Amino acid sequence: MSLWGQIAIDVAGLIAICGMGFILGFSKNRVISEPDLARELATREPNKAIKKYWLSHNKSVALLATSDALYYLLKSHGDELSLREISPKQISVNNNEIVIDVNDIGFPRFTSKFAENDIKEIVGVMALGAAA
Amino acid sequence: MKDYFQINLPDVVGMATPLFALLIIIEMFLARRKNAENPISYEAKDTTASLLMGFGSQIVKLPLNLIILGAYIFCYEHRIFELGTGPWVFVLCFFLEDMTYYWFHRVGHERRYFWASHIIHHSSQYYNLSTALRQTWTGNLAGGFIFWLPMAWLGIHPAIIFLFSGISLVYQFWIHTEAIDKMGWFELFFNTPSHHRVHHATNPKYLDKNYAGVLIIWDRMFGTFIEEDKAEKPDYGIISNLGTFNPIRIAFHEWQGILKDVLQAKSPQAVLGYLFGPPGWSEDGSRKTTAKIKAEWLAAKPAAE
Repeated sequence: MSLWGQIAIDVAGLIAICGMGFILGFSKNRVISEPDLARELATREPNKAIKKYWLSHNKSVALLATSDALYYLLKSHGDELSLREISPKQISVNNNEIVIDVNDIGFPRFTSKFAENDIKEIVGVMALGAAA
Repeated sequence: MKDYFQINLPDVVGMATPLFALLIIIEMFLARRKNAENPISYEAKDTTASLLMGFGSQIVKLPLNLIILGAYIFCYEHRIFELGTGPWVFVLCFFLEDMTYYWFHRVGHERRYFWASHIIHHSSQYYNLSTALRQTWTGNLAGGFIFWLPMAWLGIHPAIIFLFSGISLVYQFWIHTEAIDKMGWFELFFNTPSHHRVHHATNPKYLDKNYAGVLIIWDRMFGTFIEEDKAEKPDYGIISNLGTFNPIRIAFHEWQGILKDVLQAKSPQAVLGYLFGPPGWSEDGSRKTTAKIKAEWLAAKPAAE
């Protein structure tokens, strides 16, 4: 078989399998629950404890502050969760949205809506964290 | 090219590709009945990303094939032994290729330069047959093929090396599944789904273990073997899991990380550390290597129990 024939078959197979995945209902967006927060942090950082946390409106993002003044971002990623340590400098506010700039291509920049009170609280704690 | 294509050996990967597709679809149907007894799990976006990585890896290697083939031919031209192409050479090649794969794979985990390519295969937080196809785009470009050149230099015909590399790749497809439990005596000698689940896990206990391709004997011999513990379910992915399903980001994220670190390095030693040190190495020791993660886990273990 020619190279182009092989490529065409591969593309057809790829589309068929991916389509099947969506048709079978495997496209999920995990809702972060409170137990997820402690479990995920304990998995990655067994010696740290959550001091404070904030969950976004749609429960797809959470910010965690640990007792040693470090900050972690927990983001739903399909049906799984992805955790990153972030610095207060990576967070900014745009009206009622929090902009999280993780600054690496493996974890793109994104925005997330938190409750208005939460934003003030996050910014306040972040500022304290940064000062500390 | 002289007589290098006189041996007409089958393209096992090409032959197996339709079977890969069929088995993925069957596993997807099995995943619909996910429960405590059936942990198989799929995520459509993750599977799409894995298949695009697999497809991309096939495309990317096309322009490199000539250079790689040239390197093999050069080594074979300067071979040390006249081994010929008899049956025992095929047996020898099977074992040598599998041991070569073990060391290539181990270096791929223990040195960041090679990890930057191999991390792609581990970047899925799912462990299913589609994960097997999540392949690097930069592995050969980064020189991964050099690990196999000594075999040609020893006198094994390049076509036989390609055959066994292909067989190894095909073999490793079916072990990327949670559908198969432990396999009795087979586990002693061969790489199995259970052994490879451990390899894909980020649990401190399981990190950097079970590098085998086909035979698990190399891990047993070189001290990197660990049994899957039923009490500790593997947590799949990488230490800093990705937040994207974009194939371009998946393919290059660790290279970008290396570039960033190298540009900010304060000394030539640090540049070497960021390139060839273990993943997680940093000048100030603020990041975590596998050794550090394991040490922290061991320190926390008695308290947890």
